[in-house]
Amino acid sequence: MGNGSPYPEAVSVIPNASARLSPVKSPIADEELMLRYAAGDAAAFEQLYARHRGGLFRYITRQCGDRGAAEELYQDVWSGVIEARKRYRVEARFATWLYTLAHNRLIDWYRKSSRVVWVDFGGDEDEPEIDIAAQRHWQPEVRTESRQLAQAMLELLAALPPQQREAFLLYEEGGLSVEEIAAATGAGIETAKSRLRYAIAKLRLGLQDLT
Amino acid sequence: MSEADMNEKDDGEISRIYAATPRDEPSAAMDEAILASAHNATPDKRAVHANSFHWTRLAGIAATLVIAASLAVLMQDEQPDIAVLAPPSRDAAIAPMAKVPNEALQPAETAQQSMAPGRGDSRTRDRTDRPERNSGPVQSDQQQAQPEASPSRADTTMAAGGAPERRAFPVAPAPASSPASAEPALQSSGVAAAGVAARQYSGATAERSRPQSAESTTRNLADAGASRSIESPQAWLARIEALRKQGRIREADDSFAEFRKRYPDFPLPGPGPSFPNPDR
Repeated sequence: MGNGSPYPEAVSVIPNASARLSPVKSPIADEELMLRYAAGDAAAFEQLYARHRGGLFRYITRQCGDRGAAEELYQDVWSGVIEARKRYRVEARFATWLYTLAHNRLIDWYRKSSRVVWVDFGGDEDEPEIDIAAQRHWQPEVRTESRQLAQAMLELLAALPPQQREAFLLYEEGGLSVEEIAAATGAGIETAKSRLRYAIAKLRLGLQDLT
Repeated sequence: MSEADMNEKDDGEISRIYAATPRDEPSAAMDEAILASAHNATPDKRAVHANSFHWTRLAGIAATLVIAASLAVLMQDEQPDIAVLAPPSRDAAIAPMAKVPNEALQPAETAQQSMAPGRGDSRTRDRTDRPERNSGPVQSDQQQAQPEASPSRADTTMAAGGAPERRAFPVAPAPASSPASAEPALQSSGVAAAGVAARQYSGATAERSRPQSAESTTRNLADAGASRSIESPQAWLARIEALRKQGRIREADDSFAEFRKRYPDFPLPGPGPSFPNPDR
């Protein structure tokens, strides 16, 4: 509007201007791709898979800690997506639905493998108090090599309680919001928010100790 | 800077460090396995579409070939008839009839003779034999003529016979054992077809230039079997005139009554002693 035109620049009717200013064509939404796949378009699944393969794989791998089991679970999750394509309804973001499937597979795997680490699906009342405000001015990049930090991050992540780690991984890898994390894990929103806050605080604290 | 902003900044730092961790990914073999599973679970629409298109295209080509072959057969069957039935002009189509004047009085008998071997065969042969039969002796036809053969019967049977059959496609041989059965066969099939052909191939311009009554009469003549079994009205009237001159008044009157039944609208040459009052 700064050029005096009565129209917003995004809807300019001048061909050359619109060619210059037109935004990049938005990609097809995950949900649309899933619907297309449910309708028989295998190419839509390929796009969907390419978008989520890395994040889902890292979520499962880092959550279960067993590479072999993670690969099996990963394949199992995608098989669930394929099988559920006919029942798929757009009631939430596809990512939320996908990570809900993965979460459920992980729970099943934990139960089968007797790794009863996170039987408590409640809140995090037992967590020790962390002074988050005291870590505000932490600047790790100044004093520590990034490679070391990344390695330390993975170690700290593995040391987190499973619920907090899951909340963090869903946040980072799945791009889920607090509400979506709550939906995917079956927890309340405040619980999910608390888990995420604790996870981040512990990671920051651990990294601060390294530096 | 508020506390929330500071938290966001710190969270951003954690996210940045986490993003620097190794980006573990599934193996290519696993990717292939999953994608293959996805493909197998879904019918390949493109393949189905291509197959259906291929099938419809083949079906279309086959249908076109069948239709083309059928049309070719039809045209082959019809062209000889047209060639035979189509005289070069309307006069040529009508002229042979004038040479067989008495046949008009005995259409059933003539039909019996021409159709006796069977309708399908006779039709073809009649067309091919027409010049010989038309140029044949008139006397022989007159001798064979049966006076009591009534055109009214022909009208009746024609009305009962229904629509004319297609020409050139003899489906079953017509019963030709009796005059009563041969006559409708003649009028409903061969004669009607000949009439159609005569109308189609006669000079349309000349026809338009004639008076309406003569035109309609000529058309009736053609429809009723112009090829060879019915004489022209002019010839018929000439014969009636000849009968009168010979003193055979009763025969002339009967013949004229017959003539009027057949050609009610045909204009008479003029009021004269030979013809009774048309309003009689």
